[in-house]
Amino acid sequence: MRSTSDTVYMDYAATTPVDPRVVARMLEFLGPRALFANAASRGHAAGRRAAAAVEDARAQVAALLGCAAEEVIWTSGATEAINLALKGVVRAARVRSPHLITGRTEHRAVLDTFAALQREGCSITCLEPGADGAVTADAVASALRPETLLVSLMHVNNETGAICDLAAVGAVTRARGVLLHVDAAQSAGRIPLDVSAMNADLLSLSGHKLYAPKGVGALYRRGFPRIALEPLLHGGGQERGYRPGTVPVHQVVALGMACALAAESLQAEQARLRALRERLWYGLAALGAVERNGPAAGGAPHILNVSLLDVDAGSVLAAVPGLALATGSACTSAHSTPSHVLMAMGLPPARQRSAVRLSLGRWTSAAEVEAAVAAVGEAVVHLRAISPLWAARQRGEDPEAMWQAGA
Amino acid sequence: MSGEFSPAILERFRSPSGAGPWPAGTPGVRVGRAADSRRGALLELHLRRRPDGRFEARFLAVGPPALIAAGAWLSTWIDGREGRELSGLAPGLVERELELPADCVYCAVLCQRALERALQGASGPTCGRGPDSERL
Repeated sequence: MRSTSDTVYMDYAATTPVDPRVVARMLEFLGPRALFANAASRGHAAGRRAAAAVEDARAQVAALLGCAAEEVIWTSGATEAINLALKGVVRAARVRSPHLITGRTEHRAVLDTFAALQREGCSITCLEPGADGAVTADAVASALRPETLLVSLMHVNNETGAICDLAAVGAVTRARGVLLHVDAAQSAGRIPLDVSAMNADLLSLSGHKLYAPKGVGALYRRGFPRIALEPLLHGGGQERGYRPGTVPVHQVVALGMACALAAESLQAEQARLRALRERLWYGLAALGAVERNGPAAGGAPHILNVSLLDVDAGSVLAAVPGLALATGSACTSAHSTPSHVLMAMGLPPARQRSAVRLSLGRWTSAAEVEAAVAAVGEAVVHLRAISPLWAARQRGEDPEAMWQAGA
Repeated sequence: MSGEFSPAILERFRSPSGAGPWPAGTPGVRVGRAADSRRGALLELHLRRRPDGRFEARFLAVGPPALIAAGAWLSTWIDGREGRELSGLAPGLVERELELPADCVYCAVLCQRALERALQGASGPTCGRGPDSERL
C-alpha cells in the first residue's frame, strides 16, 4: 500500500488504511440522501433503518469475537474501551483497595489506566514477561491474591508480535473467580479470537487497526452472567447506558464491515503475511549482526521487530524516507528513549537502541518487501560504514566497551 | 522523523562529508572520542596535522541524525585550521550552524569534547587503538 506515490507503508501495527469496501459502506450513511438518521429515533422509518444497521454491525463484530451481539458495546476506540472496562469494573465492584494485575509490556492505554486506578486506591501488580515478551499463565497464577479483582493482558504485543496464551491465563483466572480483560487491539482481525475459549470477561478492540476508520472501537462485556460495569459517561442512555451519546452510525457500520471482511479472509491472510514477514526477516538477517526481538517464527503474522546492531534506529528511519516503519522506541529528534517493552524483555541497550519494527498488512506485496529489504539494507550498510561500534566489531573488539571509552 | 530536522541537519546527515576513517596507513591520526551512552550517541573524531601544520579530520558516529550531521559539520570546519583556532570551538557555534533543536544541543557538546580530546590525544582508555592512530 503506497500511502503516497513514493512511500512504502510498513507501519500497519500503528494504523491501517480504511478498506475501500468499508468506505463504500460508510458512504451509505453519510450525506443528505443517505441513511443519516439518528439510530435512537425509532419513531420514523429512517431512524429504524439506521438502528437496524447498527445492530447488523454489532452482530458482525460479535461474530468475529465469538460472542452474542448484545455483549458488544460501541466506543470511540480501544483506549476508551480499555478505560471503560478497567475503571468500570473497579468502580462497579465497590470494594476497598482491589488488587489488579497486568504486564510490563502492555500498551500505555492499559498501563496509564492502571496508574490512574492506583491513584484511586487500587493495589497493582505488573508482571515481568517471559523471554519472548509475553506474560505466562504461571506468572499470573503466582501473582493472584484473595483480593484480586481483575487481570488485564494484551493478546498480541504491538511492538514484538508476541502472543499471550490467553486460553491458559483464562483457565487460571476463571478457576479463581478473577475477571480477565483482553486488549485485542493488535489481534482482532489478524489472528483468531474466541472470547469463550479464552474465558475472557472483557475484551477491547480498535477499528483503525483492522481497516476501519479511526474513532471507533468496541468493548466485549460478558453478559451471561453479566459483568457489572460502571459507565464513564452519563446521559442519553445509548448502549444500554454503558456508553451514552449518539451512536455514530457510519463509524459502527464501518467497524462491522471491517470485522466481516477480516473474518472472511483470516486464515488465508495470516498465511500470506507470515510468509511475507519471514521473507522480510531473512532478507534483513542477511545483513549480519541482526537480531530478532520477540518470538522466533511464531507470534502475530504481521509484526517483525529486529535490532540492526551498531546503528541508531532513528537514523535508519531518517535514512529511508520512502519507507514508513517504526523504531522500537519512543523516538524524538534528540535520541531514542528505550522502548518499555524491549526493556521489560531484558534486551541489552545495544539491541534497544537499534530496534526497528516493520508491520505488514492487507496491501503489502512481495515487491514491497523486497524494496524494504533493499532500502533498509542500503541504509544500514551506509550507517555502519561510519559507525565506531561497527568498526570495533570488525576489529574483533566489544562494541559496548566504546561507550566507556568515550564517557 | 526526518521532518523534525532543519535542512542543515538533513543535508549533512544524507551526505556526511568527512565520514569514515582515514585510509589505512595514513600517518599522524589522533582519535578523540566523546559519548553520551544514555542517549546512544558516540562521536569519534580522527584528527591529523598536515605537513603545513594545519589540521584536517574525518569522523565516525553512531546516534541520531543530528549527531552525524554535527560530525560532518565539524570535520568540514576543522579542515585547514590551526590548532589554536580548533581549541576555541564553542558548542554554540555548532548549534547555530546546524540549527540544532534544544533537545539536540548535546550533539554540539560532544563535538567540542571529541575535538578537545583529539587535540589532547587523550580520549580515554582505548584512545588511539586503531592501527594507524597515535597519541600526541
